[in-house]
Amino acid sequence: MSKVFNVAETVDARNVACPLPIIRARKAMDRVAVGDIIEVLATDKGSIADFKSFAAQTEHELIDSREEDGLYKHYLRKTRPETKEKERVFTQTISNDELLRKIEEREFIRLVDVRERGEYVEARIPGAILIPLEELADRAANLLDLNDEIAVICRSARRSDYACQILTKKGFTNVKNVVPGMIAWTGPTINDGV
Amino acid sequence: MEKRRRVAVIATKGDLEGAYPPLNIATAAAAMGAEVAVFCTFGGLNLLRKEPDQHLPMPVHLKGAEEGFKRAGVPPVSELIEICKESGVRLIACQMTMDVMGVTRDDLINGLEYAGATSFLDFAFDADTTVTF
Repeated sequence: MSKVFNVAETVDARNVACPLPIIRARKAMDRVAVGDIIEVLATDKGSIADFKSFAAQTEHELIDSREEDGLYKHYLRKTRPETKEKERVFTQTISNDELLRKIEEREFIRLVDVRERGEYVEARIPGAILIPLEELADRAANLLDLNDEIAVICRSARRSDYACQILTKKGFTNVKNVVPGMIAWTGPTINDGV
Repeated sequence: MEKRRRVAVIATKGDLEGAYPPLNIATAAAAMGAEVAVFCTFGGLNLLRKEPDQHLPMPVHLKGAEEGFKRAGVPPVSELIEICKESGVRLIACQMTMDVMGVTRDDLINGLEYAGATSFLDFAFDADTTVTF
C-alpha cells in the first residue's frame, strides 16, 4: 500500500513533454508555503530522473516518485522559500543586541528558533523554543499566543524573515525578525547535544 | 546572499530542431532557479519572431515526426517563449543578424533585448554553464 500525503496542490502535467512537468512544478512551488507538499501527475517517462535532479538542485525534498500504469506521481515538499521570495521583506526587526538586553533584563519575549533541529541542538539561545520553518504554519497556533511579543531567529535572518510573514498571516500581532541572527550571536548559548 | 546559478544559451539555428533544445534548456534552468539568458543569432533569430512556429520548419530528416511531437505533448515554440518571458529568462536578439537579414523590431516579439556579442559575453563570462545550439 503506497503512502498517502496531505497535498497542498496537485499539478497536472499529464500528456506534456519535457520540460513542462518541471516548469509546472516550479510554478506550484512558488504558490505553496514552506512545508507544503505538491503532487505532480506526469506521463513523461523521463520525469522520474528529472524530478530527482530537480530536487537535488533546488533542495526541495522529493518524498516519493511512483508509477502506476504509465502514470507517474511525484511528491515534493517545499523546504525553503523560492528565489523570488528570498530577499528580506519583513520590516519589523529586533537587533541581536536588543534581544540580548531583553533576555538579560528578563523582559517577557517569546523567542522562536526556526532553524532545523540539528542546528538548534548544536547551539541555541536559552529559552528559545524550536519550531523548524517547515513546521511553523501547522504548529504556531498551538505553541504561541497571538498577542505575545515574538522574536523569530534563524542563522542569517532569512528563514526567520519568511517565518515572520507566515506568523503575521496567521494573525500574530507582535512579531519581530532577529537581525542578523545566530550567525552573529554573542550572548550565551546552550548545546543540547550529547 | 546565496549566488544563483547562471546559464548562458546560444541559439543559432532557425528550424524546429534548432528551436527546442535551447528553449527547453533555458526554461528548465529557470525552473530550477537559475539566471538564464538566450542569445539568438543567425537562424536562431527566428525563435523571437511573432508566431515563431510558422517561421521554424521541420528539418528534412525529421519529416514525419509531427505526429510524434503531438503524441509526446511537445509544446509549441510560442509557449516556451512565453514561459521564458514569465520566468525572467533574458531573450537577446542579435542586432548584427537583424541588420544582415533586414529584420526589424516590428518583426519580433516584445520584451527582447537588442544587443551584440559583447553584452552577451558580459553575462556569459560569469556563467556556470554555457550551451550552444
